[in-house]
Amino acid sequence: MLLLKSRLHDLRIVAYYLGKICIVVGIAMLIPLTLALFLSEFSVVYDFVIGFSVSLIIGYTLLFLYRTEEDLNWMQGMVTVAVSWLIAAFLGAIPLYLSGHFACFLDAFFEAISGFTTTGLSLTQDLDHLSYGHNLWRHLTQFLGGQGIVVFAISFFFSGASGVFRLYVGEARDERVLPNVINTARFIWRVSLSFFLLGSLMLFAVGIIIGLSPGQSLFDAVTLFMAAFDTGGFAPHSQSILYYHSLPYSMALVFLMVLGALNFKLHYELWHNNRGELFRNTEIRTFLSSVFFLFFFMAISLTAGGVYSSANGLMYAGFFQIISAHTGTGFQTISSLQFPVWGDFPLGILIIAMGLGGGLCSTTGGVKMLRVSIIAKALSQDINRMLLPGSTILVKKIHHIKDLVLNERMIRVSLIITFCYILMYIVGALAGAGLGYPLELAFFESTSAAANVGLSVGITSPEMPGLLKLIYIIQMWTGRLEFIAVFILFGFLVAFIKGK
Amino acid sequence: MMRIPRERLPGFKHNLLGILWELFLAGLIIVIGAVISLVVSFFAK
Repeated sequence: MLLLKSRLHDLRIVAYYLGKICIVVGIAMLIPLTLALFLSEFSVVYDFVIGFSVSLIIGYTLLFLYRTEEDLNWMQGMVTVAVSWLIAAFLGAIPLYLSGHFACFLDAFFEAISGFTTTGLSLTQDLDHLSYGHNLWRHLTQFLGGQGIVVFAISFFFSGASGVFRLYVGEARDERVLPNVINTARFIWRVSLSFFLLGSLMLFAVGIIIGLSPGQSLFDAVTLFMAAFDTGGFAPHSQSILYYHSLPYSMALVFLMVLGALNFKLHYELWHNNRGELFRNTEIRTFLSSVFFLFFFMAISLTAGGVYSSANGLMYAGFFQIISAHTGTGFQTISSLQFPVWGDFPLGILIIAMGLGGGLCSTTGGVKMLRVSIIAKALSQDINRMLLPGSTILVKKIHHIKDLVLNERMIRVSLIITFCYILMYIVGALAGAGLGYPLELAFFESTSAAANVGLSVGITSPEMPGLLKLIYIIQMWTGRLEFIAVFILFGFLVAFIKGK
Repeated sequence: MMRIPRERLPGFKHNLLGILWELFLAGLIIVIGAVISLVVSFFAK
């Protein structure tokens, strides 16, 4: 029995809120447009004028046609969020496509959704000659998508209403930092903008020290900050971070990737001087343990396989890639073709790191640390229960901001989301293998897309089959929204078609 | 009447302290990586 009931009226409300999102995306295009004007990249200005105009025309048409005072209910909120990300990617793809650096509009759409979902897989051709304006836009999509397109809209363009909370939850934010969701959204932006100033300055300084020109150092610092803190993974150069050949520069990026992988609720606690949370939080402990063990085994494997023998090589390539994978960023200090040379074991470790992800309510993708720790605790609870006398009452707690008693609902939700992610990793891998790629490489690339990471073993390229591009697009979109909003959208469409 | 506490965003001083603690955590992770790299490469020789 289908529980969802959709009516034409629901579509009208969804369309009205989508109109607002279109306007927000259009306004965001003014930033690269301004840069292009400043740098006299006039052909680029036209591309953004067209993108901006299309966004505003669609946005205001929807607002005008479907004006409503009605608040969103849960179903409408989820559907709005799910469609918002596709529309944002469609609009975001327009200036990219007009740049002439994409073989077709599907490639530009792939790039835009990869940006908004903070994945970082790229189909840009001749990236090293892409204009500054377009390159800034690629990275800006990651900055907007990392915080959440809807969170961005809520922060600046929505007034207080309960429907706003439904949009916020639909965007895979399980936790509110503050009781008021608009203040939560504003706090998320406050953290991001504070680190934007600090992180860009740090990267600029390191860039100057390693010999970049001031102009390039500034542009790379701003764009790489957006990609690192929002765990996106786009880079202004085709060689990604390998371009810089610098251990200090890569370690500066490690700082930003780790900060981006932290739960915004943890940011809030630390910013309220609750430093004890840093040492007691289950997400932090799980993340530290995971990084420790994964890198330890990877380092042994890489040295035993003769790939790297120096500490410098292990840090620059091995450790950087572990952090890049685990935080869901996708920066590379080695070329895509080098990954298979590492061997199956290190690749397997990177797949695990990508699949696990970072903190809940952060900019990362994947299963996420809180769910991993809940499942691990539940497992240990079951083992203890088997070993102890039947009459024993066993209570397990996890510490996340406060002590939480492990309950059935928490475990069930964590298991369902984890199962969905694993299923999606496998389906994408089988699709890649079916289209002719080696299974282990297809599994790597599929996990990278679904967990919004962006590391690539070379499968993602303009020449790959269109069907695989579509599959990766669906994986990136579904993975970013953590399934629920997408499932509700499909349920809504089925119910609508059936006329219920 | 029940008094609802007012939501407060942290002030500048707390922001700065919070950022320092977060940088400390990121630094700790880098130190872990460096120690593992040194130990493993040492025994590999």
